Amino acid sequence: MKNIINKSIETFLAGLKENPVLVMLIGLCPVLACSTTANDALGMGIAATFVLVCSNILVSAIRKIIPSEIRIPIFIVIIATFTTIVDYTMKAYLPKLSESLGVFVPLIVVNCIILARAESFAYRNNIFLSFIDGLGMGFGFTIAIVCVALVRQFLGAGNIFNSAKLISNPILIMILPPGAFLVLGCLVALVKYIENKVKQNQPKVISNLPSSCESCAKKSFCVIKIEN
Amino acid sequence: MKIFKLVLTLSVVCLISGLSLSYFYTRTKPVIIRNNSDREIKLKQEIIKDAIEFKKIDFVSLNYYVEESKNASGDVVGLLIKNRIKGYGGDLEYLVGITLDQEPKIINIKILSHRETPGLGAKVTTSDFLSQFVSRIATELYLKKDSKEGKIDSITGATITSRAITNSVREVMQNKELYDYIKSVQKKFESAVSVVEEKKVIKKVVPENTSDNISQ
Repeated sequence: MKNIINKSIETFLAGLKENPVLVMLIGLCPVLACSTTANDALGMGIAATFVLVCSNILVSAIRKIIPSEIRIPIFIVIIATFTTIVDYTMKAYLPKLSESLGVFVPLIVVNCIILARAESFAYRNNIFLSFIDGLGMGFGFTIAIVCVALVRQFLGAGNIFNSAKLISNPILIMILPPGAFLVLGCLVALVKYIENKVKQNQPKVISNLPSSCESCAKKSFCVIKIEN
Repeated sequence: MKIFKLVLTLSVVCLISGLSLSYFYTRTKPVIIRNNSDREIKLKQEIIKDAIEFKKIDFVSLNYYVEESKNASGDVVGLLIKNRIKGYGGDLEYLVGITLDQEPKIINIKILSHRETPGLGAKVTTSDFLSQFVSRIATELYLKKDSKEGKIDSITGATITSRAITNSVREVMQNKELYDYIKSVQKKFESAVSVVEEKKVIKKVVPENTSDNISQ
C-alpha cells in the first residue's frame, strides 16, 4: 500500500519536475497562442488536463487489446473523441470561454503532450498510475501556461485575471506573438538556472564512502550499493 | 488473418467513438442553439432599448439581414442590420442599429461572433472600442489614422480588425437602397404625424433646439 502511494506521488511530481512545457519543451503551440490573458490560459489548461486524464485512463484500460501496429491511430481517435466532447460541452455551458479560445480547443487533438503520454506512459502502465500521470502532467502544463499568461497579461495589458489596470503604460509587445516567445524563453532559462543551482548544492556522498555496506550505519535506507 | 483483426479493432474503436460523440452532440446541440439565440435577442434589445418587436425586411440587392424594430406603441424606432464581414482571423458578424433620421446615426453596435486573436482583435467586443460608434453619422466612420474626419480610434495591435468593422459599417450606412428605404419610411411617418403635429409645433421647437445644442 505504502509502495503504491509513494509511486503515485512520484508519478505526480514527475509532471512538475519534467514539466512538459518548461523542461521537455513540447505542446508549445497552445502555450504561445492562448496565453494572452490568464483566464484563457486557465481554461485551456483545464481543458487539456481533462482530455489528458481521460485519454490516459482509456488507453491504459484497453492497452492489452490494442495491437501495437495500429496503436497510434487508435490513440488519435480516442484523443479526438474526448477533445470534441470538451469542445461541445464548452460551447454549451461556457460559451464565453469557448469564444475566446476559439480554434485552440479543437487543436488539443494535436497537442503532442497528450499523444506522448498515451504512447510512453499509459500504454505501458496500469489505470491508476496513468490517471495520476495525466493529472501530474496536466497540472504541470496548466501551471506553465498560466505563468506565461500572468507575466504577459501583466506586462502587456497591465492587469491580472479580471482586475482593473495596474500599470498605466503597458508594454504592448508582450501580448503580441513575439511577447509569448520572450516570456517563454525567460521562463525556460529560469527553470534551467534553478535546476543547475539545485544540482550544485547537492552534497557529494561518493567522496567518503565506507569500505563495505555491512559496517555502514545508514544501510537500511541507503540507495548506493558497493560491490567488493 | 492478422489484417482482419487490425481492421476489426480499429472499426470497433471508431464505432464506439462515433456513438459517444453523437450522444454528446444531441445532448449539447439544443443548449448551444438556445445560447446563441438568447444572446442575439439580448443583444438586439441592448442595441435598441425600447424595441420589443423585430420584423425582417427583404431587399433585392442587399446581402445583409435588415430588421425593422418597433416599440410598444407600434412606431418604427430604428433599423437593425446584421452583417458578416472578413476580419483578421476569419468571419466576423456584427449587429448595428441605426436611426431613421435624415442623416442616419448609429444607435449602438455589438459583435455577434468573431474569430479574432485573443487579447488583441478579440477586444472588438469591449465597450471601449464599440462605444466610439454611438451616435456617429456615416462620414465620421473612418479610423483616425485613415482620414481627418475619422472619429474612431483603432484597437492597439488590431488595426485590420478595427478598419474592417469601421469601413463595413460606413458602407452599410451609405448603401443606396437602404437610404432610399429610410427616406420612404420617413415620408410615411411624416404624412402620418403631420396632422397631429400641427397642434404641437410650438411645443416641439424648444426641446428640439436644446437637444441639438447638446449634441453639438
